[in-house]
Amino acid sequence: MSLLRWLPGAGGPPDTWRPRPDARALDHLRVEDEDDEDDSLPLPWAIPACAQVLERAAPERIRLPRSARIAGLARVARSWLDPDDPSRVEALTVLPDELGLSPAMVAWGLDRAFEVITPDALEGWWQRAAPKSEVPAGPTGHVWSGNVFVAGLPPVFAAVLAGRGALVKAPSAHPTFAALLAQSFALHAPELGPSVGAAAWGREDVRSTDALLALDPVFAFGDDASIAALADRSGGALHGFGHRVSTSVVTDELDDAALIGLWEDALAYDGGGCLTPRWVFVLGDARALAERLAAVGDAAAEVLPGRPLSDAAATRRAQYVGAAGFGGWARAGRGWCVAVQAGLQPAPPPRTLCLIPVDDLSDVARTLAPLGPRLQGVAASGVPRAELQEALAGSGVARICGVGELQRPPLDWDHDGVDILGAMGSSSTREPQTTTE
Amino acid sequence: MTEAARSAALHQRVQAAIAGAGWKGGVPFDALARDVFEHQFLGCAPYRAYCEGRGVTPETLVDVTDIPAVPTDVFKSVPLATFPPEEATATFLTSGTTVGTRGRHLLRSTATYEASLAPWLRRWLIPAGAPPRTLALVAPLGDDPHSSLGHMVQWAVDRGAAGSRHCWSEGPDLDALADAVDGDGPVLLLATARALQHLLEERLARSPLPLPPGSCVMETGGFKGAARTLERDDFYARLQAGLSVPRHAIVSEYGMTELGSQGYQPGWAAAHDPEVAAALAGAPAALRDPEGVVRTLLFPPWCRVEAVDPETLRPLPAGERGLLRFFDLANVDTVLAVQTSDVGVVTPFGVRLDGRDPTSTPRGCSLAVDEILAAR
Repeated sequence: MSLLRWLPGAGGPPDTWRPRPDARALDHLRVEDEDDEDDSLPLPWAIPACAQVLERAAPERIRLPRSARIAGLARVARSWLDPDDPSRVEALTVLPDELGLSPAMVAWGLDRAFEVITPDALEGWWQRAAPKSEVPAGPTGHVWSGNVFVAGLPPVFAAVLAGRGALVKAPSAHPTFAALLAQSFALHAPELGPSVGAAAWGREDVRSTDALLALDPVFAFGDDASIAALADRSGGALHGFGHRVSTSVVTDELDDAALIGLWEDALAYDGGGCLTPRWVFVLGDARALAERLAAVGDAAAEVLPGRPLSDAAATRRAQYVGAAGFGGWARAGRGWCVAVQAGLQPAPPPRTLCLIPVDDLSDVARTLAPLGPRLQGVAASGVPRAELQEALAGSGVARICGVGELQRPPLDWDHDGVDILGAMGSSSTREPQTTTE
Repeated sequence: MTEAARSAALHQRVQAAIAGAGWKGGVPFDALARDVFEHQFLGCAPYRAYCEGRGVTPETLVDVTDIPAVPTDVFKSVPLATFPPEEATATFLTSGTTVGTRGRHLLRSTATYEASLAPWLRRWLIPAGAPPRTLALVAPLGDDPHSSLGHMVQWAVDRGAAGSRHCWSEGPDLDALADAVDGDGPVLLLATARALQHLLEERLARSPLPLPPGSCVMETGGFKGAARTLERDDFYARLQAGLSVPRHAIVSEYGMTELGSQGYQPGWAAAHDPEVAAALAGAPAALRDPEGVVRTLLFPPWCRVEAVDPETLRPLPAGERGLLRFFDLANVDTVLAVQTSDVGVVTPFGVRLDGRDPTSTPRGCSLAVDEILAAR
């Protein structure tokens, strides 16, 4: 059975650094259930119990030299890159089916997410964005969504870097990665004390959600409606990361490496992330570029394979390929699709590079205008970054980078313009900003 | 040769081929398909551009299965005809949905459409020869002139024995049906699955409505848009009990607005025609219902069907599950190669239709873009 929760101080899986003293202290809160063979607290009690434990451990962690916290965090990250590490092994065993991603995709996601968490990156982040106010002892809350399973890592690492704890709510259908992450903190950075807890529950468990939302701040990933619902119930600061889209802007003179880079951007996480380029705006001959992309589609999909399509997804994709073929040009292979079309619609299915020919950058801005300020990232090639940023002013873009780098954000990226590390202080004083790399 | 002359000649050739066909073959399919494709390539500019984009022209066509197939969604947005749409004598529209426009199938004439539907309907629903009283729980053509099903059913009712009629009054008229079945001789009841569901719930749940011995029930259309759906075997079992017909007398029909030809389950014909029974004798259990009735769909020899890989959209070997693609010679003036959204397996005993997975939805935090754009 996979690990479903890891809540220091609330029973359940072994708290390896100490034998659950706080859970015993809270035994009077326990709901007795004769059929319940384990000794873990039910979630609505477990969340505040764990939060207490994380808060109690925080002062000592905050007093640690920053270098010690960084060393612990880097050790945790390194463990996830170790092919023999038990957490990674279990993740690669369980997550493909749980998340609906191929094993290669899960491995790729773990590698990209943890390889950027280095001592230098952590120190650099601190130097750039350390909290400007006192760091409270209370733990931070984290609500994860399922599609890009590693998206919630930076706020968790930022919390512990600042000395605070992190309590993660994972989606009920995707409990394992958060629990394994919390376990890995306990196993590889015991000197940090209880620092990360994780459990999964559904939206129907309002009491557990309210217990998490009592924390301050809360970082929430998900769809806009879910985040709005959380904001309504939240008592403190809530940083929501909702629906956003990304795009690419390129010339038709991409070299072979850039072609693969475009594919990597599009195929990562099966095209389901906010950093997935939904459209590729092409200055020049879009059809010629599409044919070159189609020629390497099979090779790209072998590196980042998808899972077999559901019937519904397959039919939607087949209809799209035909419709795009009538409107422009389209090709499809196993795990990839390339199309040329005149505008944002029809909406391309996942794992598709949808090319839109444009005359200039203002054409890009005009085409994207209906999306409002929902643009997340832009991967560019052959296009002056400054001009691109100017053309997309007001689009909400939070990241401009090179082709092939879109799905590899640096650790200190201000996702959605949120100053994540700065938010660990009692109040954030930094303004949202766009980063260019 | 003008487009109209080319069309007329092809209609004649296709109708002649249908007239000379047996139920298992006898159609010069490849030769006709090449000529029909060339006619459509020359006469329908959007289709020609689509084919050229795929690198397929009448001159470069190697195998007829390489003829570029048009997904059904395209019928909603592109006028697919070799003639000006205003010259259509009949326009069939797909059923209304909450999203998008209705797909259009334009017919220059209904002659080939009827030439196609007639022998195949008779083969599978009227194997005894003489048409029985034909009763329809389907809107009359006058009420729904753009329904291809309505057209087909009207054709059958018009040619049924005395007493044939639609049992419809702004919806299924169950009292009229009860009156109509109370007569001499068997009936052929033509109905949508939803109308039969209504019959089950509103009438048969209270008391059975036995059909005369030798009657047959054709159901079609599935449960699209219904508030509740019924599991197929349970559905048939309840119809069997409520209408007092043997299980093999319940025949499913597969038709699409975008196709000129239809498919039928062979169970009723197999009970009457030893040749059909012998041809289906080796059908494995996976193709049969719990009572042993073969539940595949058989399409006429002028309408080929193949399954294609859901991802590569390339043809699959027989027996492998994929998206169904039709090559229908009855589609003379539109497109003969149609890519459906239906999933199934093509077997030597017919097509096993697997349907779709309605619960599966795309995932991802970027996917709300559809909603954003739709709300503009």
